[in-house]
This record gives sequence, structure tokens and C-alpha cells, in this order.
Amino acid sequence: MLKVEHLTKIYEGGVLALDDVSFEVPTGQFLAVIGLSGSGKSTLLRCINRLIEPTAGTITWDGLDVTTAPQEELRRIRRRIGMVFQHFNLVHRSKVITNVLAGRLGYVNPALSLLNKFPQADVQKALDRLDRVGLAPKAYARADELSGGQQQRVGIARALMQDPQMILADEPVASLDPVLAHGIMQYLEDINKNDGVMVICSLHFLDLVHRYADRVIALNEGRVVFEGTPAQIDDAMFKEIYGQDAERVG
Amino acid sequence: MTGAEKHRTKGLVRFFVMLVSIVALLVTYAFAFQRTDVSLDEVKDPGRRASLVRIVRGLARPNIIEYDEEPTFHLLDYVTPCPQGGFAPESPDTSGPFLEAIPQCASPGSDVRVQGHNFDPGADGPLSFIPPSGVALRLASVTADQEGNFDVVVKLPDRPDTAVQHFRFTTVQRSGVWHLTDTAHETWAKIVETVMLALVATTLGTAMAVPLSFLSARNLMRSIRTPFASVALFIVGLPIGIFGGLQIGRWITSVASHMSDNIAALAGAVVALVVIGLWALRATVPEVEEEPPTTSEKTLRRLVVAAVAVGGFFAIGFTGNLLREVGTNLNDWLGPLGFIGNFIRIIGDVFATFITALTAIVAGVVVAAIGSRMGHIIADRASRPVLMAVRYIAVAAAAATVAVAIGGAVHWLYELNPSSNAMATSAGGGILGLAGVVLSSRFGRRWFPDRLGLLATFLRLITSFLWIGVGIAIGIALGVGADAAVGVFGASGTLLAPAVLGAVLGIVGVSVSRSQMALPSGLSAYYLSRTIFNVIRSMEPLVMAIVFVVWVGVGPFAGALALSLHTTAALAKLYSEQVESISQGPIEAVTATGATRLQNIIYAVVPQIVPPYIAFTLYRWDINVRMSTIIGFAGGGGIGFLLQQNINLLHYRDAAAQMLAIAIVVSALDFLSARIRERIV
Repeated sequence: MLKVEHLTKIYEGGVLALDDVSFEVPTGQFLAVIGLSGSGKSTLLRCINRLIEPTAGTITWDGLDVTTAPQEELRRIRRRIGMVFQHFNLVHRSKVITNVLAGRLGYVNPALSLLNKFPQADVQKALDRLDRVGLAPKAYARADELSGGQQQRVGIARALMQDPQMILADEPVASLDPVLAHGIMQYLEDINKNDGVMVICSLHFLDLVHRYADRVIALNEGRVVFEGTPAQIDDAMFKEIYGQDAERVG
Repeated sequence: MTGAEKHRTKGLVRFFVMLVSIVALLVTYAFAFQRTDVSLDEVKDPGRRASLVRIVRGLARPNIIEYDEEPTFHLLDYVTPCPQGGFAPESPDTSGPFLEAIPQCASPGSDVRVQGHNFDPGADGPLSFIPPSGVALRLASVTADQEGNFDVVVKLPDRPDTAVQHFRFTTVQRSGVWHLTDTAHETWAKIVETVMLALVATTLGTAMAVPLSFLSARNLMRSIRTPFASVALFIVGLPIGIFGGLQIGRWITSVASHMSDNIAALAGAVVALVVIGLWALRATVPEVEEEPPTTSEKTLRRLVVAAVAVGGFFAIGFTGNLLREVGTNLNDWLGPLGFIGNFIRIIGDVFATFITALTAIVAGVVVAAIGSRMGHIIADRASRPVLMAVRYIAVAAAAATVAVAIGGAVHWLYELNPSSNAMATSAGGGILGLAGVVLSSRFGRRWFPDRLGLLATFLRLITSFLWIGVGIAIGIALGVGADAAVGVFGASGTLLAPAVLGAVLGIVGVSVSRSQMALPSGLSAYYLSRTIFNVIRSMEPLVMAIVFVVWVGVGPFAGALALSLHTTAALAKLYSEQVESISQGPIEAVTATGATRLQNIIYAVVPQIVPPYIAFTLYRWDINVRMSTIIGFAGGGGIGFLLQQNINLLHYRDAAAQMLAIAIVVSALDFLSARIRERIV
């Protein structure tokens, strides 16, 4: 169970990115976060694993206070939260398997990992995860030799390496060809349904939201303007979220 | 005004501005010409032109190869003054080269026309007069024309004699094959030295610059903020660690110096230490950690790691001894390749010499890091009163430490006498007073609430002045106290004043800061390292070489040290700018997996910066080769010394050989580095 209470983020320079956001996510749920660009979706996701320090409010996950956790504990929290990014964020010049193994950095002995040495079990695990996303043959290719869709699957494999109990996916399909979107979303769905991993995913396309999400929250200028099931988003609600001039696509 | 008029005025103004600009520009250049002594008078001087021609011709013929030469003498009998009845030489063999004189005899001092025939076209050499003493009196330098003839008028020397004397024309023929000149050999030796010097400087500089470049990369450092207590404990921990490390280092050195010189024993000790260390680490520190370790596990691990670290330093110390022994033996055994043995011996020397410094630095950093970590933990978890107490004590101690370090440095550099010490301290007291003003402005409202109206303002102002007065008074008292302390404690007594002053300032600092305030320690490190690099970079290696020559003596080692210092600063700047331009995505992704900062650098930063780092290093090697060609001007070894010497001695042909060598090496390196860069990037 993830509990976000009165979360507020004000960036240096006074930009209010999140304004008193509160919601709860039960374990095992697929939550979609929607809203216009700049509505605070990315900031919200990054506050959950504190890549961005929230200004105020609390985040509690399974009874652990994430917001006040000291560095050491924060690292142990982060290693249980996989993250998938819009731009994949792979290290281009490294091998695919090294990118995947990076998911184990929170677990392995820091000194050994600095020498680029991972336990044999972890290497095997990385190959298994790559196999799960269908990229086992590419394990020793350089990451930048892969196509966009393949790179995102490596990103998912990296998140899976963490044995996560939560996955934060920040616009995972926004920079991919729309026809590839379902492929990526199905991996997330599979992880959510079969492994019981909570997924919090920000999305642009409403049809993806309808297809994959159990529940939706919508942000507008940092405030939660809607919370409910995908089916509850009617035309009036749509205009509320995206503004009066918006029209549906797809 | 109409639009057209407006337009016209605008045009006029623009014209006027242009005119003024042109005049200003002309005046500037006139001044510049005057300051730089631009003058064509000297250029037109024929004497200077002749010198220029000589130099250019010399430079155009680098003294690299030469032939053995054999002179051929062509003689013509001559008598001066004319004997009675005249004189006629034997008629020459006109099938080969021969000389003729008109007249065939003459009085000393008169003009004689000497002609040569049948020489090789262009044959040149000196025409001399040989009196009976056999000493050649050089008359002219002659060159045969296209037909092999020459015709000169010379003045007979004043050597009257009844015996037959001679005109002699000497031509030179090449004999044997060409061979390299001594200059060429010398140049080769020195250019090798130059390239090696540049290699050593680049390697040392790169090794230092890589870790430093992360410290001066804004994007990595910006996010590092540290609680006040943590910074304070870091600063306090540093000297404690350095002191402890020095003791350990001395201990290692003394143990190592008592070790036997037996190579097998030394090697055995090193191997044993390494094996035991690795085994101990394996046994206590797990490869993968699923659960947070318990306190006892943590303690055990720390003890083991500390013990292994000390063991590691011993291993390094013994390795130093071992390498020295091995190197010395190899030196004798390898014969002409003895320099390899020498290299190993020097590496051993480096280990043995720097082991104390190394332990001191490592221990300093480790203890400081532990202090910083404790500060973090206290800031995160301790109760408020504990945190307050720690903050006050630690910050006071840290500020005192910094003040003592500054005071010690000032004392060492400027050798202050007691009275200026008192003055300096009272100036510090003034700063203290200003700190008091800050304090009073922060607490002013509490002490003199607004409801007192104008009176409050007045009282606040008065207290501000009082603070400054009190600060200066404290400063003077401290200065006087320090002078007294010198009498009691000796020279270290001068540090008493800065210590007290620093502690007080630290306490003032804590009381005006909020308890949760985090200092931008990352950015401070960034600005500090940037400033240091800029200062070092602004000093030309040539100037640094002069300092190093004083320290390590004239020779390439001084040059290598000077260049490596400059390289460190320059590369650290270039590297760090590369780090700043990497893509942030991977860093974000690796941070999100729960990686530490160091892991983040290895996995997200390093792979991105490898190609530019290599490119910059190669470029720097290129620069260092060019710089090491002139570092010899200041006694830093390399080819520069030879070049400067030859230029000063007006040996332009020799200098040309050295310049040619430099040009070849620089272009070869340029080509090589371009190829390597192509392959890697």
C-alpha cells in the first residue's frame, strides 16, 4: 500500500509543480497518471522514489516513511522500486547486459561492483530477464545498437533486475512508435498481473489508460482533478482534465 | 519633425558615430604601433638583411648528414719580389686544372691577377698564399664559373723572399658515403628524451586529473548538500586522520626498513598479506545484501576492512622494498636493458617514499568521511538537544581547525613577528565583531521588540557598534595573549589566537543557522577546485619549470613535473566540462536503482566520458611534446636546451636540425593521435 499525503513540490525559482496531492495505491494495482505536459506527472513519480525531494507532505509505503528516510534506508527503498523512463535512459556505450546488471547495484557489494564484477547468479538472472523481454540474443550488443522499442525493453529488464515491488513508469511509450506501445504496455501488464507488482504509470493516450489501468488519477497544474476508474472519464471529465479546447484522439 | 527628417537625423548620427569610431580605431592602432616599436628603418638596413639571409640559409640546411671530405691542392710557384731576369714558373699541365698569375712575379703588396682553368664548374674554395713558413695566408674565396675558370685580383702579402713561394687553391671532394653528423646523433637523443618527458608528464597529469575532474563537474556536485554538523565533523576528522595515517605510515616504513632484503621473503610477505586480506574481506563482506546488516555485523565488517586496509598498506610498503631489490638485481643482470631494472627500482622507490603520504591522505579522507557520515546520521536521527550540542561542539572545533590551518599557513609564509601577530588578530577581532552584528540583527527583534518603536532601532544600532567594539577588543586581547603564549608554548602559541577566534566564529555561525540547514558542500568543492585549477593553469609551465629546477635540479625530471602539474589543471578543466555535458538520463536511472554515488559515477558517468577523455589526453600529449621542446629553455630537459644553446652560439644549421626534429615529431604525433581518436570515438 502506497500512501501519498499532501505532497507539495515547489522548484527553486518558485514554480509550483505539485500542490497538496494525496492519494492511495493498494498493493498490486495498476495506476495510471494522466494530465497535460507540465501538469506534474513526472515530478510526482520522481517524488515517490525521491529522485526529486518533495518540499512538503509525506509518502508512506508499506508502513515505511519514504520522505524522511535517511540516505542508507532510501537506497534500500529505491532498490525495491523499478523505474522505466520515457527516454529509456540506458548507458549507450555500455553493453545491454551491463545496463541490465545496473539494476542490481543496490544489492551487490559496492566495492566489487566498482570493479565491474557481479556474482554469477546475477549474470544468469540478467540473461533470464532479457529472455523474458525477448532480447536474450542481444545481451552482448551495445545498447545504442538497439531500436527504440528494444531499448525500452532493456529498460524494463533493468527494472525487473531489482526484484521490484513497485514500478514507476514515466511515459514509457511516449517516445515510441504508437504500434510498439502495446508491446511495451503488455510487459508492464504482465509484471503487474502475474508478479503482483504495483505499477504507477503516467500516460498520454486515453485508450492505453482504458486498456491497461485499474485506476486513474488526473493532474492539472499540480492538483489532483480526478480520481477513479478509467470508465468514469466521460467527455465532461475529459474537458476538466485537459482543458476546454482539447479533443479526443484515438 | 517628419518621418523623413527623423530618418535623415538618424543617418547623420550614424555617420557621426562611424566617423568617431574610425578615428578612435586609428588612434588605438597608432598607439599600439608605438608601443610595439613597429618600424621599417631597421628592416631596410643592409647589415640586418645580410644577417637575416645568413640565418635563413643556415636554417634551410639542417646539419644532419655529412660526407668525409678530401682536399686537393693546386699550386702555382711564385716569387716576390721579382728576381733579376724575372721569373717564369714551369709551364703547367694544361690537360688538368691549373693556375696562372699575371704578372708572373711582382713586388710585395702589389695587385696580382690569379686565373684558374679547367676546374669543375662551380668548384669553390680558398685561394691562399703560402710563404716558406708553410702558413696559408688566405687571400680570397673563389668559385669557378660554368666553364671551370676563375679570375681574381688579389693583393700580394708583404712577404719578400728569395725562395719560391706559392699560390694555392684548395678544392674539396666528397669521399666515402654520407653519415649522420654529431648534431644529428645529439638531436636524436634529445628528441627521444623530449617525447618520453611528454609521455611521463601526460601520464602523471591524466592520472591526477581524472578523479579531480569529477570534483569540478557542476552537474555531479550541485546536488550534494551536507548538514552543518556533517561538514564540521569532516573538517575535524581530516587532521585527526592525517595524523593517525602519518603514524601508521612511519610504522610501516620502519618495519619495512628492518625487513630482510631477501626477495623470496618479501614476495612471500606481500602475497600472504594480499591473500589473507582478500580472504578476510570475502568472509565478512557478502557479495549480495538482501537484508540490512545488524550492528554487530557492521562493526565486525568495519574492523575487518580497517585491518585489511592497514595490511594493504604494509603490502604496498613491502612491495616497494621488493621492487627496489628486484630492480637493482635486474639492473646488473639485464646489461644493456638495465634501464628496465632501473625503472622497477624507481617505482619501488616511489612506493617506499610516498607510502607515508599515501597512508596519511587515505586515513585523513577515511576519518573525515566517517565524521561526515556520523554528522549525517546525527542530523537524521538524533534528538534535538543532542543535535544542538553536537552542532555547537563540532562546528566550533571545525572552525577552530580551519582558523588554525590558515593561521599556521600565514605564520609559516610570512613569519609574523609578535606585534603584527597582534595586529592581524585584532583585524580578525573586527571580523568577529561583524559576526556579532549578524547575530544581533538576527536576534535584534527578540531582544528589542518592535513595540519599543524608534528606541528599538536605536538600541539595535548601538548593540551593533558595541559588537564591533567587543570583537576588536577580543582580537587585541587574543593578540596580546598569543604573544604571551609564545613565551610559554613556543612558536605554536601563535596558533592559540586563531583557534579561539575560529571557535567563537563557529559558534556564532551555528547560532544564526537553522538546525536542518544543509550546506552546499558539493558546490563549494566545485568552486574551490575550479579556482585552484585556474590559478595553476594560468602559470606557464616554463615558469613552473624554474621552481621545479630549484627543487629537483636541472634536467628532464624537473620539466616532467612542471608539465604534469600544468597538465593536471588543464585536463581536469577539460574533462570536467565533458562530464558536465553528458546526458543526465542514465545518472537518473542508475540512482533510481539504489546505487551509491560512486557506483553511479562508474556505471552512468564513466562510460559516457571515455571517448572524449581519450581524445583530450592524446591532444594533451601533443601539447606536452610541443611544450617540452621549449621547457629546456628554463633547464627542464628535452631538446629545448640544445636548441637554445645553438641559437645563442649562432649555430643555425644545428638549430635547424633540432627544429626539423620537433616538426617531424609533432606532425607524426598529430597524425597518430588523429588515427587513434578515429578508432575509439
